[in-house]
Amino acid sequence: MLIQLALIISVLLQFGAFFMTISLIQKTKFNISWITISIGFFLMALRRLYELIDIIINNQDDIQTHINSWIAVLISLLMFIASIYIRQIFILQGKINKLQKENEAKVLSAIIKTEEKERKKFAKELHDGLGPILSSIKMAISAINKNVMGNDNKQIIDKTEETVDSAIITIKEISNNLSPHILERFGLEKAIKTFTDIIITNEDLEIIFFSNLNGKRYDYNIEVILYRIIGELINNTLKHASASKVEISLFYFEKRLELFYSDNGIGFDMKNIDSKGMGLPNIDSRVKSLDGELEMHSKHKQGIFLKITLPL
Amino acid sequence: MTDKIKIYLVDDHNLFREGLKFLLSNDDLISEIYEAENGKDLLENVLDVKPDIILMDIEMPVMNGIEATKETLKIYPKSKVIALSMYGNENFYSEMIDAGAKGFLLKNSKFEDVKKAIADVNEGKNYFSPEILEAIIKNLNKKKFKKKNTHLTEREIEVLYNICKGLSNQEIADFLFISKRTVDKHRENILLKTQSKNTAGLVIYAIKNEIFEV
Repeated sequence: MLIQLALIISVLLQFGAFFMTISLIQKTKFNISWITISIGFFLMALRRLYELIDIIINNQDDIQTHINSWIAVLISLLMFIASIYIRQIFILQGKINKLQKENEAKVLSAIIKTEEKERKKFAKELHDGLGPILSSIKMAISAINKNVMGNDNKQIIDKTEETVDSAIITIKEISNNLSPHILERFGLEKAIKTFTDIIITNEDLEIIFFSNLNGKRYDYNIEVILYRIIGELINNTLKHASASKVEISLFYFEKRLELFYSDNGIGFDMKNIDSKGMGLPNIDSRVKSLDGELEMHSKHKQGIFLKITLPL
Repeated sequence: MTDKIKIYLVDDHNLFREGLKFLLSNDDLISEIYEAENGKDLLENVLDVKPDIILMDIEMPVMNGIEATKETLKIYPKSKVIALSMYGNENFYSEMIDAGAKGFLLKNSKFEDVKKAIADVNEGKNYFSPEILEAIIKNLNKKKFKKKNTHLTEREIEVLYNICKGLSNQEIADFLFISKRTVDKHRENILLKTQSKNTAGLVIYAIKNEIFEV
């Protein structure tokens, strides 16, 4: 009677171990190994069940059967315990992976933040430090009374004025590329609007921009990352897509920001790139740094579609 | 009252202020030049100085040009503000115009433009840097506005055009053979319909909607 009870427990333990390994299939990277182990466990459980039935029906009670059965019970117990611990190992590994990912995001975020901070500093020093000095020079030169001087000198003055003009334009461009002042001052919507207006004026591209932000401001880090991503996407479209139309939408929801970007260009075959990086490593790492998600679809001759979700 | 103009220069950049002051001091139209390095500085002294024209930087520490323009016009509405900015972007000038500025100059303007701005605004007109007007028009051509001045009547457009030319309400009334009161009413309606806060805002609206050309 005792042996029968022990065998029943053994069968249950064996099935328990089987279900445990089955639940681990998802968590392991080498699925095949866990599927085979699970099948093995399942067969062992069946065998135990068969043995149990055999003992009950034939009522065998010799020593050999006893030893056999008790060893079987022990094996089942050990397997059950082992599968519990294996499960724990996997849970731990999962935690480590998650931590690693979080750490990666933190490091990325720190790198990007530092970079933007430095850029902002340089831009400010150039624009606010050197800018007014050059403007002063320009104004002074333009105030010179050229009527009282010879033709040669007049030409020199004109050339100098032109040179200072182009210096001022260059400084404005450099500082705007380093850190767009409008973004800091007026926020994402107006900065994107200004940027796309310049593109529309200079390139043969229609850009439709829609947003429900209504002037809402976010952490500068989020704003600048989205701004850079949009800049990069438009640059990609201009360089590679031969598109005539781009649509950008920026939506604010309660706890997240969603950016949709699509063009009607030549697109590309998704098989040729690793969608999680290769093609757009800069964009991907920026999204990662904010713990966001990037989704991209493209087909040959059907343009691209991209969705970025950032948690707030 | 003398015809000479009293000027207040408000800019946090010392070198730029000094340079501009030196150039302006040689101008016969200008009698006195005062300096402040931020908006707060100006507010503390504006009632003692009573300037005709204030040349106002936008980005300044302590108190920026937008706040300073609003506050100054509250306590001394007789002065006229010309914004003097490094940035020619629409976002900047619309903020300054809403605050009450009568003109908008880029810092890298030619000196003759600065003089013209001071003279024009002192006479009661508006002044915008040619670069800014060019940018508005360039943008306009590209966008090809489809709905032109949809909700202004023909008379209102006529009045708006003359406002942009710098005419006073009385002058417009004489020119269009209507009473000054009617012109006042028209101006009020136009401000309301175009959602402009002042004449400078009207000028920008008129250029954007191709009612007035420069």
